Amino acid sequence: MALSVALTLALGAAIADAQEREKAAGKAPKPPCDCDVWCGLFAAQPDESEIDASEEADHLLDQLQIAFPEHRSFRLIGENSEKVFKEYECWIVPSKQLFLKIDSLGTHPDKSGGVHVHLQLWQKDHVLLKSETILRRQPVFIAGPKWGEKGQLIMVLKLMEKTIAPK
Amino acid sequence: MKPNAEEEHLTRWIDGEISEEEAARLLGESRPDWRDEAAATAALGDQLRAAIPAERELPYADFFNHQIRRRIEGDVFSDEAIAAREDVAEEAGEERVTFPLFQQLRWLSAFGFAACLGGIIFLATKNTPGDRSEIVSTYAPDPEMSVVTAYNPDAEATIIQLIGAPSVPAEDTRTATAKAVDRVLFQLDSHEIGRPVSVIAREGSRDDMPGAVLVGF
Repeated sequence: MALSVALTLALGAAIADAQEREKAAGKAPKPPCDCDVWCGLFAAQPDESEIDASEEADHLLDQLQIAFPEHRSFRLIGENSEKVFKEYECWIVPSKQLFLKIDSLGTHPDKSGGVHVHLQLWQKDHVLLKSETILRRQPVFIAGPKWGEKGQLIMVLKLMEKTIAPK
Repeated sequence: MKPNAEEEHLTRWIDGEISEEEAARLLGESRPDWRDEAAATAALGDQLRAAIPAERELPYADFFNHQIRRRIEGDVFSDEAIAAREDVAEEAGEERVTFPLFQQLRWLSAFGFAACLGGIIFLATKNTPGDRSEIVSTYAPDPEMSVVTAYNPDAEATIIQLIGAPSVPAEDTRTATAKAVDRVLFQLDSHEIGRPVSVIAREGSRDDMPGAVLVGF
């Protein structure tokens, strides 16, 4: 009986402490958000067996077809969008096979609305690529590992429109 | 010794610079024997010419010519000579010209200025980043992999090409976000970042995802 009372009191104290911390966190100012990024993982194939008919992605698919003429179909197999905060690392996981870690280095000083980031492309538990990149309105295509027999995984990274400063 | 006025007049008459009437007017009163004196001087000259060869080779002719050339150049191109000419020009009412060649080629300088301005505008336009994402640097930790970056203007996209990355089986690729929905152990609304934070369970030893993943962070 005494043990159960002690456990109940301890649990109550822990919950109260958690609530106080949450209140304190609510009063704290939000860290500066540098940008919103969208990341999509496409499986590219040299045949037309699988075609993504999404109209929203039409322009992006056109860009992919121009950039990778050896492939004829591009299927979106994972996507994710995140806010990128200054001084915080951000993980974007469109797929557990291939995902990105982004560290913001701040907005670029030019007037194009670019964001200077440090990218790490992970495949499972090891890093494939490290890159310092200035993200702007136009996307970055990362042509990654081979996928299946003839395909290829292509990661698309772009700033979301609401982040980009109007010209 | 500087000759006096009579000697000078006499010398000018002997050299033929003034007429005999003029010489008589200038020398008649002060030196009545000027004709005899001139005759004696002419005779002395004849005797000297008879005794000394008419043409003699000039000793150290090259050095002599060099000295004459330097003297001429100094007289014409020295700062004093230029200043003197400018003073004369100023006195004559002419405007002083600092770079006379520049003034003469004024049209060429205008053309050069226009060409430079056009070049600067072209370079500034060319280097404007615009909407294009830019790869500052790349690094592949695996020595068997290489990275190629390029910008495709037709696709309007920057491309990073990983060469030599381990291939992925086609059936093994699924979206983690869809799969993660059934694996949430704990979720907390964070006012600090304005997004929910979820802790996702590890499926087992064969699961290659990290043990805990923050979703929405």
